[in-house]
Amino acid sequence: MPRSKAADKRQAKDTTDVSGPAAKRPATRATKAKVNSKTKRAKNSKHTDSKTEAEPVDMSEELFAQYQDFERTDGKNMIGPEGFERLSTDLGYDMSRIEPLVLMWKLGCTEMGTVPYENWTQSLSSMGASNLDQLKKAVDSAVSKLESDQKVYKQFYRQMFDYLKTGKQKVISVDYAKDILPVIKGAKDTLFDRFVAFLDANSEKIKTINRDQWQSLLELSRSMDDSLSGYSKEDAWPAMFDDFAEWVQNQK
Amino acid sequence: MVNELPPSGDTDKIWEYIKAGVDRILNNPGENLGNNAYINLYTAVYNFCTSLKNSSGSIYYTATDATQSAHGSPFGKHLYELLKQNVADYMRRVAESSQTHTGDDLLAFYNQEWTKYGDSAKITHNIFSYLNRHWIQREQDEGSNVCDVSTLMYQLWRDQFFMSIRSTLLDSVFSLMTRIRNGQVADINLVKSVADSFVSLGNDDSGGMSKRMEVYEKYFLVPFIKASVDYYREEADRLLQEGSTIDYIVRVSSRLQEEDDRVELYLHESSLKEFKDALNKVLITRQNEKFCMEFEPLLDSRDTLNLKRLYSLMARTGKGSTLDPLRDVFSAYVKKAGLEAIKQVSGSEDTGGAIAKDARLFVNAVLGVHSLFAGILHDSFEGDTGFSKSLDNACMDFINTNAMCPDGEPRAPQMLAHYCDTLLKKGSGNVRKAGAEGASDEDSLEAQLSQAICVLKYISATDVFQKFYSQHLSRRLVYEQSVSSYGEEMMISKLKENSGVDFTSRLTRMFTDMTISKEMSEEFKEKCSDGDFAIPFDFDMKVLHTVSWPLKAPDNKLLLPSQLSSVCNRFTNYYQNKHNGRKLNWMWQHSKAEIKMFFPKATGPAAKAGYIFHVSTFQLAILMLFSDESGPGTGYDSPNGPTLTLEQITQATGLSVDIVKPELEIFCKARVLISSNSKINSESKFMLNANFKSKHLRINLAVTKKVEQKREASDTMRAVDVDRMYTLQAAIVRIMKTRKQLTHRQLVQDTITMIKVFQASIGDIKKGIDTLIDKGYIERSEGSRDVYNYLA
Repeated sequence: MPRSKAADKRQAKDTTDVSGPAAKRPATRATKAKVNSKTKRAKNSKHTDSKTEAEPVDMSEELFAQYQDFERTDGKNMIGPEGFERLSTDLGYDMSRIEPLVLMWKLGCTEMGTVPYENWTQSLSSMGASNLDQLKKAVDSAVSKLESDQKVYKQFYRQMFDYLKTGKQKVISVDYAKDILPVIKGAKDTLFDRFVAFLDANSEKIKTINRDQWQSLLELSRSMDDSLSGYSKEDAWPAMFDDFAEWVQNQK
Repeated sequence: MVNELPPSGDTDKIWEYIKAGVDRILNNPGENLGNNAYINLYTAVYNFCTSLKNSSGSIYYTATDATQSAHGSPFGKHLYELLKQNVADYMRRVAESSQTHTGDDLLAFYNQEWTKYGDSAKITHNIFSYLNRHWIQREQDEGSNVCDVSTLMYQLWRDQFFMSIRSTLLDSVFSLMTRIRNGQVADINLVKSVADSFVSLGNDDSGGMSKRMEVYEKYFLVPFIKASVDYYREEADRLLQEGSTIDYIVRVSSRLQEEDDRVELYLHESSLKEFKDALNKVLITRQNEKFCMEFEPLLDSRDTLNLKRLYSLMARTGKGSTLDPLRDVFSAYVKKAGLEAIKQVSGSEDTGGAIAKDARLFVNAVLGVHSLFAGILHDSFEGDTGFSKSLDNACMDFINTNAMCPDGEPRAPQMLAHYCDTLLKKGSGNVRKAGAEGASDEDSLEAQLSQAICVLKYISATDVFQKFYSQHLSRRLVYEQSVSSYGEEMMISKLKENSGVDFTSRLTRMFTDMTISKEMSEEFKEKCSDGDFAIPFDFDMKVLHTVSWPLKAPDNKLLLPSQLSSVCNRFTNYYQNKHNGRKLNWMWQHSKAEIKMFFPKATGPAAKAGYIFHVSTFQLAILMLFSDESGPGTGYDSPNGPTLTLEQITQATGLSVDIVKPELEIFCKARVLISSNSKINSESKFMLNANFKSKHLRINLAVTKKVEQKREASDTMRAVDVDRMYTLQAAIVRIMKTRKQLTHRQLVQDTITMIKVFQASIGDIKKGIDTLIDKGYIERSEGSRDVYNYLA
């Protein structure tokens, strides 16, 4: 499902671009060489003052160049959604599962599906990965860590909100939330399914989810069983959860 | 004195001399001893004490023994013992002669001896002052258990006499008290003297100052209270067996009053409370349950006198928790009565939901219940603060939620605001006439406004009241419907007094606008006549500041008839010259006009003078179309004037169908216009009714439609909700700003406490918190999710 979301976004970007940068396109091609030389410069500087020098084969620069996509990213020095999808596929990841999201998170993406150059180099070196195999290993171990370490999962979960929101908006669309929750839920988070069902049932009333609601959902799931029998309206839950709890209790 | 003072040295002789003197004093202390005798006795004591040897010549001590000398001679101790022996002998004689007395007689004898002895003790004490000051003083300094002569004598009284007769003495006291309590005549002073003597007897030897009253407390007070309690227990049981609880209350009230009056005559003031408490316990506390059962029936019968008795009785045992059960009953009773009263009026008249009628019935029912129980509170409960609180709580309960005001709907403040409106609006005099006969209109109006304020005190959602009040006030001011400016000002000052300046500041600004508008209106007219422009009709306007008035700017644009627009444009220019930069919106929906129309078939005065219609400006704009020869209509040759379609009307006036249609319905109903088909639709065509006829020369067509009223009410409620959300958020921010960090529960609690104008629900507070988290004013604390941090 995230695939469709990523695609949606990409398409949205394309269509918004149509109006302006028609004239810019040629320029984009022209900048390709520029960017490459920039990349090289960055590489050089990195090699002079960083310890990665010691590593035998550092493929990270080459990999970045491989997935970089000038056409789609408007000439910016970054991996775009399409490049990211290719990378995920090359790593053997199914776009409808959690791994690509973890990859995105581990690569330090600030927006869904885009990896700026700086984040790429930093993340790879901090993961100690310089080729696809190492990267896959790091991501796979991060995925298993999500299950075992609640704190790590919380970081990951919270980051998802930023991936789902668009631009300066402070809320995410309910549809995105409904898509992603089943993908990222941990083994214990059966409450997420109920929440998605609740959102479906109240689609007329609830159109967006804010950051506090998003973060509180995880807290709620981790502090109560999915019948929400311990829920109290007097507690510090967002007001939306009052309705959610009532809905859950009426389901029985 | 017959005897000569014996020479010093002969202690036996000297003692004999002293003994004779002491005996004389004991037997007859009233007889004047005479200066000489007094001095001689004093000297004799001195001589005795300073003797160096006794009569038989044996030397007790030598002058060389310096330490002994410092302590005085052993003759001091000797004299002390002799005196003690002598007085003890006397006391035994008194005790013996007391045996012949009983009852009151014994009391009288005791008192007489007591008085006598008191004098004796005083005189003797003085005569032995040398002994007091030297030997006794030194002994006491060294911690020996010797007391001064006066105290010694009281001890002897106590030990040698009092202890042997105290029980007979008390029996006599009891029997005397019983007679008094039974209504017979007896001398209470006898009891007082006895009690006083007990007080004077001080302690029981063992204690120091702290037990100064021990003899009195142990031998008098305790048995006396016990006897009194026994007496009244028996009486109480008998009373309850013979009569009702009410009889009991009546009787006991007067009994306790008697005791209260009497006890101060004989009991030491320090023990009044103990005594009263004991009686209260046996007469009142034992029956508390019975009293409580009696309380509600007394309320039922509105028996203020017995309620007062019951209250006074129970209040004797303390106004704290003892009265709480009654207060609870009172509160529940008032609430029930209030709910019942409102339920009755809610069904008594079919008001069809008309709020004005409902409001009157509601407020009158509330006031009826409140004044009834406020009266009982005042007459029967001495305005007791606890009961007063019960009354307030009950009123708050039943006024805000009842048969006419469903839970959660702020209908009570709405109705109260309507009630105030009927009081202050012209042409609803029927309500005001309810005032007392003879009182002037202003006085009775003031009284009724005060009553409204009284109800307002119990309204939990005062913000709703305020919104509706200002809505009504704006109508009264704009339409000039106020009964008097005096009444309006009076109410404002009352509101200010009750709810503070914040509550009324916006209201006051509305009055200011009215004054300014009046001045401006005159100035404008002057300007016009100076500039040779004749206003073709009576023109009056009011300029209202948007912030102060609860009126919405119009959302539709009216195309004014040309006659009007010339004047209005002129005024707009005038105003904008005066106040550059201000935006002037014409609120046609709130303006009115009078129009005179002539109909060909009119008869009587109307034929000449025409009919005068009171219309809204919208209506005016529509009607003018039918006389406008350059207008959109056709068929001016027809005697009925032009015939216009609905579309033509909306186009010519610029108004929407939603507005035009109801107005046309009014015109057709009043038969001013005729429609081509009975149900108005887009096909309808309208023309003037040439056959119009009416008995009245003046006809009001500008009636407020019910739909409009309802819409206005719901608009006001929406405004209240919006305001509440802001108030809530402001309160939360203010609390968090001072506290920086707070738990969820505490924040909710503080917010509820801070907001006075309405009862904030937990759900709403949570929504406020959600919003503030979203806006970045506060955040959840990392780690403990029920703690919030303030973000500066």
